[in-house]
Parts: sequence; structure tokens; C-alpha cells
Amino acid sequence: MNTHIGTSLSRILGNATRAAAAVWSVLAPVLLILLFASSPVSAVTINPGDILVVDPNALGGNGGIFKIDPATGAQTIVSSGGFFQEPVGIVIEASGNIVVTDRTGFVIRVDPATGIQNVLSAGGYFADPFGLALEAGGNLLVVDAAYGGSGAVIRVNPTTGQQTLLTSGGFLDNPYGIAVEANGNIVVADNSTAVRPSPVRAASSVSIRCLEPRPRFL
Amino acid sequence: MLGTQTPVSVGAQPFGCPFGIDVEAGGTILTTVFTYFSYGCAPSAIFRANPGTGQQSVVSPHSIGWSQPFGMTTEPDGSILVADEGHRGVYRVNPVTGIPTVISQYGYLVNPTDVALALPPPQPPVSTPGLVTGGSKFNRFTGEPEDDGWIAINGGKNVYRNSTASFRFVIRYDRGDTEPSGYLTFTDSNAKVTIESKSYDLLIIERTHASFVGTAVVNGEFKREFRVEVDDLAPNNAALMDVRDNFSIQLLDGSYMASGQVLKGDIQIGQPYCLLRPCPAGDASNP
Repeated sequence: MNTHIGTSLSRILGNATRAAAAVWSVLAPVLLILLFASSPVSAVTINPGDILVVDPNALGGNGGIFKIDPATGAQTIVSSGGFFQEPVGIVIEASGNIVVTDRTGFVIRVDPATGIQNVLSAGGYFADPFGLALEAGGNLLVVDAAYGGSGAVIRVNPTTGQQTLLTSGGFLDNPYGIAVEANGNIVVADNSTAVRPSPVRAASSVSIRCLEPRPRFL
Repeated sequence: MLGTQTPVSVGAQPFGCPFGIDVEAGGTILTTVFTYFSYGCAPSAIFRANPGTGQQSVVSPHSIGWSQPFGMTTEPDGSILVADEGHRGVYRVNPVTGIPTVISQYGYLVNPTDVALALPPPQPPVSTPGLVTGGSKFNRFTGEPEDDGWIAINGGKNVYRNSTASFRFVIRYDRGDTEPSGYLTFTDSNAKVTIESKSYDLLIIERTHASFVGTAVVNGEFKREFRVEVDDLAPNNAALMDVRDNFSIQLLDGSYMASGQVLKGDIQIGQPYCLLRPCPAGDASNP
């Protein structure tokens, strides 16, 4: 009797589980679509001369990318929601695609024609990816304000998203800005403690030129 | 510490706490200073730093009204675009006077941190007018080689070091041409690689260096892209002197590359073209 009840119960539970799984298999894609549909991503045309701005706290707090008409100042949402949680750095690739850093540990590529976001690179060396720059060959450079406790410069392959740690430690202490000189040298704006140690040669051949050590921020 | 780091501009006030950074067309470095008084930072402003000396100067002072300027970029005319978090806006700054003009403010913007400028798509490279030839026994009237030249292979991929390979080519481009014309043959018998050009796409001449790309038949397989780099370092028809020309060829799919000095023959950039007819002013082949 008990065995019979147990068998019936397990059969009922099994059927319930299968039913729930079937319902979920139908609902999950719908929910995902609804989730992203609720994200105000939009399609805009980016013309030469247009200004793109990234704001980590816009649109309710998860931030977005906005096109600004340089003549009128009119603002248009390019992309928001989706993977954005705190987007802070922005560049435009030669292809016209937009790439942003998100402080929660992502580099996200946005197609301006559709507003659709794709995660190009995540995790790895990213602790607080902030400033973003483009190298002549199309590689992305990310300055991370917190990797290893003091910050780092990370190169991201624009095709694979593979990360390469170029430099960390040394002068770096919460760097936020990054740019590339015409000769390929990387310059970083950093507000670390003022010291002037001699340059150190390491595995990376890239020269990192740090600007302005000053008191620690944050 | 990993990597090589060199301080560019180290300083006390008023350069404290730079956040945004960009490089101007002339090479000078721009920074925004994000005010954070409680951490000893200077009043917000925009600064310029000499990349060689580190000397700092004020582009746009705090007194002009900056709140929390952050990310920046420059426009083709040198104007500076700045996102100011505190003012919830984007500004254009005159790089000489430092006077900002608001482009857009408020609206969707709450704490804008960075700006980027949309630029026209890069133009495809344009061929350089001129004539580049390689081989031996050059025809004095046409400038074209009548026999193969040879290189001693000292580098590459899927090659035998210290082996030799033969080459002969002509590539010319004149203004108005849709694409360069000519031919190329290359044979590396040891590696069993034969390359015969079918068309050229691009010719770039830079003084004594030339590079060109095209498509070729490689061992009977059609439509393989190749690239050739040559240096015309030796006097014409003097390849046995101490200074020798260089020749390298690679298949762009990465399957083969050979490079080396010219053992027999010569690489000639420009001169035959100019001997046969006056070089148009501005041509790379016009010495």
C-alpha cells in the first residue's frame, strides 16, 4: 500500500515536474524577450560630427548612450537597458559600432543601427573597467580603476574579446582616463600618490605614461 | 609592477586628480580635473601637458564655471568636447581661449562621464603613381626586367632557410587608372611554391620602399591574395654591391612568406618611369 502510494506520488510529482518544465520552456524565451523588449533600445542614424555621450545614471539608474546633435543639442537614446548597469567609457570603432565599458565588469558593443548590445568581453582582469580608447589597429584599451587594488591597463581583442594585461601596479592607483599618442604610446590619467620611480621594463613592450599622481580618490 | 610606466607630468596643484584624458593633433595631452576637494584635489578645470617636458598649463580654468568635467575628446578643428557630470551637460571648448559653449544639457543626462565623436568612415588607401620593377636584365627603353632576379631567403614561413627563390615583376600605376597593372612571378623550388599574379589592387611607394598587394594563382590555385614589400637600396643594376635590395612576399592567408636580400638582379622604384616621361609633380616617383 505504502509502496503504491509512493509510486503514485512520484508519478504525480514527475508529471508535475515535466509539466512545469514544459511551461518554463515556453515561458522562458517569452520572458527574455519581454525583459529585453522593456529595455529602451532604439535605432538611430549616426552621422559624422554627431556626439555620443555615455551616462551611467541616466534613465532610472542603469545608464545609456545618447546621440547629441552638435547643432541643436537634441538628445536621442541610442541604447539602454540590456547589459547596461553602469556604463562609463565610450569609443566609436572604425566600423561605426559603439563600444562602452561598464563598471560592473563588461565591455559591450552596440550596433547603432539597431541599439542591440553584445558583450564583447567580461570578467577576466576586469574589476572596475572605466576609461576606453582605441589603438590604431582596432584593439581596445581599457583602463581598470581597481584591478589588483590599484588599477591596470588591459588590451581587448575586438574580434574575440580576449584580454591581455599590459600593465598594473607601479604608478597606477585608481586610473580613470586613457588615450593613445600618435606613436602608439598609451597615456593614462591617474590620481595616485605622488612618486617618481624610474621606469621598469617588463614583459609588455607597451609604454604606459602616467599622468599626475595625486591623492587617492574613492 | 607589470609593464613599463613612465611619468609624463607629475604635479601638485593645480593639476591634481586628472580623470579624463585625450591627445591633441599636435601631440599635447589634455586632461580634465574632476573636483574632489575632500581628497585634496584641485578645483575642476581643463589642463594641457607637454608630452616631452611634462610642463602644465591651464586651458580652461575653474573660474570659468566647471563643475565635474570628466571624459573628453577632440574634434577635427581642435575643439575639445567635454562631459561635465556636475553640470549634466556636454560642452565644446575653444582650445585657445578655453571658453566653453554648452552643446546639450539636462534632458536624459544625469551624470555624463564620457563623450565620443562620430567621424567619417576611413577612406580606402589610394595607390601611389609610379613604376616598380624587380628582376634582372632591364630593358633600357621600357624599364622592365627581361630575366628573373634571385633572393637569398633568410626569413619567412614554410620556407627553407638559406635557400633561394626567383622573382620578376612589374607594377605601375598612373593617376586615373582604376588599379595598378603589371605582372609578378615568384618561384621557390625548395618549398614548391609558385606564385603568378592575376591582378593588382594597391601600390604604395614611400621613397625607397614600395609595397603592393594583389591576387594570384598559387600552385594552380586561383584567387589567393598576396603582398610584396621591396626596398630599393642599391644603385640600379648594382645588386652585387655591399648594399642590396630587399624583397619579401607573403600569402595573406598566412600559409607562406619568404623574405631576403637580392642576390642577383635589382629592385627599381620610380626611376624608369621618370626616364621615359616626365614625372608629374607630386608623384612619389619624382625625386
